[in-house]
Amino acid sequence: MDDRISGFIASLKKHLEGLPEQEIREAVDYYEEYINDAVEEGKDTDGIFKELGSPEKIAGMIRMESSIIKAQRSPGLKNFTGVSRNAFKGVTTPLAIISLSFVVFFSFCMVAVLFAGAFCLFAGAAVIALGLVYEALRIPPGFPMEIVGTIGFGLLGAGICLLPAFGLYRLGKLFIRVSTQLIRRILLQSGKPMPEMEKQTPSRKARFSRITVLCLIIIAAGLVSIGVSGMPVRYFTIFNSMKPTNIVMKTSEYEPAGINKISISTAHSIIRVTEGTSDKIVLSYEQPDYMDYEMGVSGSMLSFYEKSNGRLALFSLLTMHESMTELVVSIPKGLNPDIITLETRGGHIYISRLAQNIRAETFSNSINLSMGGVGENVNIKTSTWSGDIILNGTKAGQKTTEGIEYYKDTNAAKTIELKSSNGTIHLDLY
Amino acid sequence: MDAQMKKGLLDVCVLNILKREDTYGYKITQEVTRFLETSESALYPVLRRHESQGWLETYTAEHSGRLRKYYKITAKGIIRLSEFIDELKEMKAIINYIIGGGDNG
Repeated sequence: MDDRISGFIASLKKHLEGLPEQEIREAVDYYEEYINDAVEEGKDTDGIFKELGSPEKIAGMIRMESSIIKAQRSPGLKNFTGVSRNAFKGVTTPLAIISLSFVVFFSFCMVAVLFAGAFCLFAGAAVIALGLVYEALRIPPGFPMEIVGTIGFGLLGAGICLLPAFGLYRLGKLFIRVSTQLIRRILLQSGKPMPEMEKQTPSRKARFSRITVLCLIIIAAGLVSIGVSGMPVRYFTIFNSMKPTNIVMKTSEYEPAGINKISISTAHSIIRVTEGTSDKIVLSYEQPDYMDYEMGVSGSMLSFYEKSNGRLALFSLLTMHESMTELVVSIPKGLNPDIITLETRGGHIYISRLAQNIRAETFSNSINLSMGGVGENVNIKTSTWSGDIILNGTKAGQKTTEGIEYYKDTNAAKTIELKSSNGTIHLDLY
Repeated sequence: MDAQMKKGLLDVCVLNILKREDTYGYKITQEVTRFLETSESALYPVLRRHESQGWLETYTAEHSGRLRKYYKITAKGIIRLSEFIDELKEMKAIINYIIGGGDNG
């Protein structure tokens, strides 16, 4: 008789394997005590076992209950998987199996999508925050407001990502709670009693609102830092291609003797090559307060190079837009340099003065060449990736895999080479 | 009986039994199964859940040379029980209406 009881208990223990030690001990103690009490009352062992059901059934019920409580308390994918696995062990009718499969499949997909979305947003927040802090650290000393503002942009972006990230994460958790409740319902219908859903504790709600408040504080801190830095005005001006305020005029004159190469490169200022009245080469540059430049003569080459002074973060994004500042290169009459190279990322290029050879390249804006009457005396090589080529008011050139190209070989000594990625090239030659 | 309804009644029964006196698992099961047709092994999960909700607590006492676990209702459990009973009273009015033939008496 005792052997059968200890056999029953041992079997129960075996079927509970994998659960926390304490949980197993409590369950085993309970049933041991229960059987002892029943025997004491004079019940026969067969009757007791019949009433209780098989150890497997008892263990299944305990496992199910334990996994649901776990999933309700901390609704993660792992605990949710536990619930589904135990649930399938408990169902017997085909209808319950079908509805359970549907619920489990659907909620797994939903939860996966929600958690993946939350993960992407968390990652996005981290990238934005770290990226802009890195940008802020690269700003040279002397511009404290820009450092504050750049970190502010990082906070703002991170806060804006974090808010929906937490939202999606919580939605995923809520989904797990709701589906475990649904699973419980299905099991109840198939006749297996299950514990009631635990009510949401108020502390969880309080933590959620704390997180929301934290996100809002981050966003507010970002907005305040951006506001006091004065950067929005600057960015607004650049993004709308308006002429910046705080321009300083920088003019330098160079003796033309010995110079036969001119090389100009701007970030997003307009380049204008004209014929000057002076007998010197004159460079006049409108310098905005977020720009720096280098210019000078080395050997036979006169060069100008415009670059950021590090004040504005993510400067290369800004240079997609032209600034309305100009660099005017005026070349005296009679000087005929071997080559003029002009390069800009976001600016326009205007050429109205010929050299032996001209090479001009722009990324996002137009090149305008206007020299009436020289048409027969130059070789022309022009190409643009997504713009047009307009020759004396009409579209010209052939469509190729490289965009639109227009070539004209006149066997002349002079060559003009113009290239634009996204801009239109205007040629006014005749 | 509807499974959900049975579940709720199981809760009331257990708390009500413990309100009268502290007692042990086998006794609770016997009492409950007198009224409710339920599996004897369904009680253990219920007791565990009530304990984790703080509606009851346990202590052990010696009984004929072995330890026995006794369940005792808490203040929280008493509050929960009175809520359950209020719900049942509401239900009673509905039952009276249905069984009484619905003459809007």
